[in-house]
Amino acid sequence: MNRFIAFTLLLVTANILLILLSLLFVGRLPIGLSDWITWSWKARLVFEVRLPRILYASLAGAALGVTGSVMQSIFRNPLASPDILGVSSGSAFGASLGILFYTSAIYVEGLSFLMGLISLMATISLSRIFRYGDEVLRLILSGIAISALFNAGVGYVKYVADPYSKLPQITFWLLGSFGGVGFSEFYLFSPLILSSILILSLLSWRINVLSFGDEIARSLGINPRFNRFLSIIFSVLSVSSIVCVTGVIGWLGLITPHLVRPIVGADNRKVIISSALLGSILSIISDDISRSLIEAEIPFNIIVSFISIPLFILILRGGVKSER
Amino acid sequence: MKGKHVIEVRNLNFSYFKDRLVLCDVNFFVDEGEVVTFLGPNASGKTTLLKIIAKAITGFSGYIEVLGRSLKDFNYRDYSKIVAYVPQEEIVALPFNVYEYLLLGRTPHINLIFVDRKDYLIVENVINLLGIENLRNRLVPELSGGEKQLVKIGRALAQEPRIMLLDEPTSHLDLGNKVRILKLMREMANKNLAIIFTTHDPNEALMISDRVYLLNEGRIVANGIPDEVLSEKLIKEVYKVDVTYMKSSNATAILPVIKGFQS
Amino acid sequence: MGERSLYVSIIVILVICFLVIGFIGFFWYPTGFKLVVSKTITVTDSLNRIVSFEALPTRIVVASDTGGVTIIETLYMFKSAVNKVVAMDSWGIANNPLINILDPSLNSKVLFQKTPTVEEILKLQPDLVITRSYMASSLGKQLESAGVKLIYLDLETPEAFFKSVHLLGEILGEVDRAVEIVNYMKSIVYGVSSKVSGIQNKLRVLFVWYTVKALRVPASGFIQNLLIELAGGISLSSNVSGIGFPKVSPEQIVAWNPDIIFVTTYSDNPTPSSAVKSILGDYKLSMVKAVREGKVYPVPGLVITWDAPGTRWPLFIAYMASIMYPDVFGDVNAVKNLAVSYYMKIYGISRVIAESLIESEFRF
Repeated sequence: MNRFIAFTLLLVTANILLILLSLLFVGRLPIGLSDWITWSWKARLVFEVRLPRILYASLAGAALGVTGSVMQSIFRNPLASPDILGVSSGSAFGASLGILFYTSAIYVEGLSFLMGLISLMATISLSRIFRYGDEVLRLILSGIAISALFNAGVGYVKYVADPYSKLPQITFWLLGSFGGVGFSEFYLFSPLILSSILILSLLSWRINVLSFGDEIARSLGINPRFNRFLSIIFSVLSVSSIVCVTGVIGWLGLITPHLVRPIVGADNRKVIISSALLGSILSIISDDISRSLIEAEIPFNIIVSFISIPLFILILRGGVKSER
Repeated sequence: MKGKHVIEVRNLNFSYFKDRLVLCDVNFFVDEGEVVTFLGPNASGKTTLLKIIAKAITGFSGYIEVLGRSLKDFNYRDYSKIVAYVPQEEIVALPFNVYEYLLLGRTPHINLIFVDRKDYLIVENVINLLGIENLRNRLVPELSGGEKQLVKIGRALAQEPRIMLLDEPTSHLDLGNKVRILKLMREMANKNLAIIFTTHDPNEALMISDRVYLLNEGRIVANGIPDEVLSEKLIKEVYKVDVTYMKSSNATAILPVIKGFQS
Repeated sequence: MGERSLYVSIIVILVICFLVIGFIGFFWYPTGFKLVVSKTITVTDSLNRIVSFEALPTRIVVASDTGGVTIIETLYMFKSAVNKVVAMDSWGIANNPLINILDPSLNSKVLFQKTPTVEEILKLQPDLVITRSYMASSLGKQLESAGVKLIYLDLETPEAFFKSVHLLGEILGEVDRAVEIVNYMKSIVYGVSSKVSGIQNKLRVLFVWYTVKALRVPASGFIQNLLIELAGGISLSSNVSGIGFPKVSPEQIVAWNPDIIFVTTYSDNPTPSSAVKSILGDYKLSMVKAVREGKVYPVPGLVITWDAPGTRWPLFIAYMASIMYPDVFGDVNAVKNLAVSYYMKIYGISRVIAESLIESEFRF
């Protein structure tokens, strides 16, 4: 327990430091300590541009880490990520439609969020029609089907989109970026994301139990359908909130729990908190790089992969014994 | 018999699909401190029967009463404080260690995520009782068959149940582990737990059971104390094999007749 | 018991999060970097946004990905614009002789390889950023929330184009020049349309974007259809529904049976002339009247073709009209002469330079 507390404190401190340093010093606009102290126009401008973005990146990374752990436990599948139920594909489709037909960002974000939720409803409805396998398998299968459906939709939108104006916008959106985050997005979506993280943390013990299957869950007094449903709802709500603004960035959700489990173990109470903290760190670092390295924005997923894969190899190679 | 039965079942019928009855007109009871065995060949319905009692399967018709209340009246949480179920197979998807695994048995008593000192103490007790201190930090998926079985029972014990249901607890176990588990079940019963376990091996019933229910094709064909129920005639009828009863000074066994096997 | 505490916790968490963050949001909503001084100039842009300036902008940034070069070409019709533009997208600039001639200080300006980040633009301290409306949901939105003065400029139709020219005139302080340009262009268009209005049997014309994989035509609402009509033809693709440039099968083209086909490739690989050859040699299209009679013509233009939204479309009308009705308008040389005068007038370049430009734009 001591080891876990130390680890958590380390991550929390790292988070706070990162946020502060990123806000003050990381970005394309060169700005120094003197600017900050005198609160020059540069400082004010940078503050308003960077702050919501960094905070949102932190929240999003945390939420992705949490929902990744939750999905992997509920679906008993180490490859599960928040996308597994088709949410990301639905959101991508909604956003593509928004970009194609409208100019304002409100439509893009709104349609994206809406389609994300619709795709979840479609997945759940479809799973009820299936007669094959248990509920978990049905959900996975219908998630695959609905994802394929909406991915095809995105493909079609890309096909008809004007290759010089709309198509690059769609392509860039799909690669993911925190560029579109302003204060309005932050205030609008962060309550939902934050509460989802907290609620899923409260459910973490039950999610432990769910990972053994419905039969064992019942024998231990947990109603599997109800708890699974709750977990999925809050996971999808937070993921939709993120994806509608940033584009498809599910990879972080898949990999963060795997980075965390060799260190803290499999108990979701620890995994969820640690994934939230580590996810936030990875997200902030990746976003810092993606908006500062070159004059243009580098898509988020690319940076996350570059950072997380060496980390992945490092952690899984050893140094942390399998027995705890 | 001390007063009311801990479990009482009357006229139980069950089928998965409309065509075939898996269980037909089953009646039985279990008392505190007893070891009761559901004995029968494969596909006789004994596992299904156990799962119905465990509330893992719904949709039966008939009357089931546990500690004086109808089974249907219980919610999962309250029921799991009374009844612990030890399944035959289990897939452990996440790399829990044994300590965490045992702690999961406290779930019925845990409110959301708040684990008490009491919960940790009980897990310690279980570790002591089962003598698995050396397994504390081992990862469950990496355990041997016998160790896994012990640990599963440990989790069930952590629930502090009054009744424990075990589905073929000795399958896949070698002789040593088999006896260890059987002894454990007898010890738990001696501490006033009601134990029901299923098996296809009549010798296990002979070793530890107070009463046996012999099942065949979804019906109970015999019940009573093992010595009476496990007659050569009945076993032959149900298993379709010739058997013979062997008694020595310190053991009794039912063995298949092997005349004619060897040249 | 466990369920009840769960429900309560969930509701409590939701309420607290929404209240706290809503509370913060209510009191602290930054308005961005906006100068709150007297506004002397107010304009309305293509998305009907009202943008005010304290003074005429002197540091203009154009950021519109591939659409930036058209904005630059439109801007550079105004003399004062060249020195005011400090940064632009690099797409279509380096190999663009017109812009290189008009802007000798191009090398000292910032050229964006890809769409820049907000901070990158802020670094340049612009007092105006111009972009196209399709960037609104991405870069546009980011710039707006950073409080940068932003104008959306649309050039997709002649009307929008003229409106944009007037808008630019106001911003650059060359209102009269804007009027001059618009009137001149309108006179050219009118010069053609007045002569073709009386024609009885209008020719059936198809505009085609040739790619190796398929033939595409402009859907309804796209400028090419309108330009054909203004030139006195019937645009066969004007009723095609869809977005952008939908693909059509050779069968459909045979069914339409155009009298004349204009071809572009929007690139130099394949070249327009090889596209023309390809169409003429395509056995699937051999039944088409235009193919049989060899009436397949390339579209002039270098980086920006004459048919595209931008500054050259009046010339395209004249070009098409001279090909469709040579007895009324004369041959291609007449069009080239017109083009030379045109460039001299709207860009203020010398005859010699204009002539060499035209030559390169007719190099198919």
